[in-house]
Amino acid sequence: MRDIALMLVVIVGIISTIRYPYVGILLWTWITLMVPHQEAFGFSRSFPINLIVAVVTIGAWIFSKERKQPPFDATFFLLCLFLIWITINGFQAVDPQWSWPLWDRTWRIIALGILISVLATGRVRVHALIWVIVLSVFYYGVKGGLFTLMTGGHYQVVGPPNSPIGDNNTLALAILMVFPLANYLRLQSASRLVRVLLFVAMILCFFSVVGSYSRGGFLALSAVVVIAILRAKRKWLYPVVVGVLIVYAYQFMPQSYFDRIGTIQHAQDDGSFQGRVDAWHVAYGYAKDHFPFGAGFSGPELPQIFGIYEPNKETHAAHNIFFEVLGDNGFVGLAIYVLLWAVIIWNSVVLRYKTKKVPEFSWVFDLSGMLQLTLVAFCVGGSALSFAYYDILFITAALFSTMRVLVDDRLIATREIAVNRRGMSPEASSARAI
Amino acid sequence: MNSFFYGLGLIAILVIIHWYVANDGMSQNDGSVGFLAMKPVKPRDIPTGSSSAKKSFRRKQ
Repeated sequence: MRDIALMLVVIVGIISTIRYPYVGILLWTWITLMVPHQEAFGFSRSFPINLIVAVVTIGAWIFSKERKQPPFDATFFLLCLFLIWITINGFQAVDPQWSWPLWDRTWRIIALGILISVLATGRVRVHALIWVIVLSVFYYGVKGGLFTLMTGGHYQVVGPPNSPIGDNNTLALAILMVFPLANYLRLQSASRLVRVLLFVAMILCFFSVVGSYSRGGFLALSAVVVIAILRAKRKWLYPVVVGVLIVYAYQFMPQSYFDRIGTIQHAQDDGSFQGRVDAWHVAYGYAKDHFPFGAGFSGPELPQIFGIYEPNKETHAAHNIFFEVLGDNGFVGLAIYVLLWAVIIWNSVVLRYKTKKVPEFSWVFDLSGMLQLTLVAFCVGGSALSFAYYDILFITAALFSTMRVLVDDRLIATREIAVNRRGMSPEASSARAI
Repeated sequence: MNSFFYGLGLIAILVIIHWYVANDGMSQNDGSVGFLAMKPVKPRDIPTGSSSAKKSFRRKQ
């Protein structure tokens, strides 16, 4: 039954995509983030829905009158460079049969990011995309929150199987990354009912993160809450809401939760922590010995590699986004990845600065601030997880890129109008400014 | 409950797609139509704040 319902929705979406290519972007993002076919139990699990939607979207876009030219900025350049490098590195992978399926997923994410930067040309499109992101991840967050409240927090909240958010840690981090975006929607929605529903959903997602028993999630939650409070306009509101939630969670959650979180204080004595240090050593060692290449996607986790650098030890994933990229794609891959991060942060700062006093772009100001919180959650949570290629990072990069084009074009046009009103040519104005 | 949520998720994506098509696809482009409508933006040319700012704006016009 679920399969049939899903297929009907996908068919409706594909038909709309032929007329409106951006619907394909929304559908593609939804299927990538929510993986709805993994929640159905029949034929759709093995059906290549994502690939079909991607092909139809790209085809519809090519034959449409939509903008074809991407914003030729640093983000576009770095996304393309990263895609080229991971492909070249794929041929140097230790076990190509292990690495290529993971590459296959990653190239689609990057392609989606590039397409978003081309097609998200206005506020409505960006807003619709944010709704899809929030829906896709909060679907698990709201369900998980209710599950935690109904079971007294005795069971772990986990994500859908065979997906990047399948385990408790990655699901908790994904929810936290989307948390600020839900707040953005709350700030920007006109309907009071929508705002209330979003607020309730955010509270349930808080319990979902707590119910995941994720230590990385707990650290990321703490970081997001502290920064959100520091940046809030109404300084009293956030601490009150957070305080009430913490007190309630403290009384509600069982002792096993606090025992689990308490192990953060003794991380050095923890076997899991030592395993991570070993995995970082393997990633660094392999990248150094095989410069400039890495071992391919999840290559350092393979016993034949791990055993060389850490003999007689159990294999571990990198559990850190930067060491993950280093081990997988070598120093060159890491350099491109770090540069991409730098460009994303730079774009966010520039956008906040340029739109701070422009009422027309208050939505860009709000969204940039919330996306900064998303990056904080990703950075803090990602320092303890293997989650480097998660879709939302590339979507965030694309959103900043497209918003910069929007803001720069509009501000330049406004400046030209102002100059013309004063009876001066733009050139004369520039000369005077210099 | 799982199936209920799944159905809700499917309906929600259709609502978002419909909202997008109604606002952007139909060239209205201000996002003010439908359940998911956005708050309106203030155009940049209209000054907000003190009356002196408004007077200054009119003088520049």
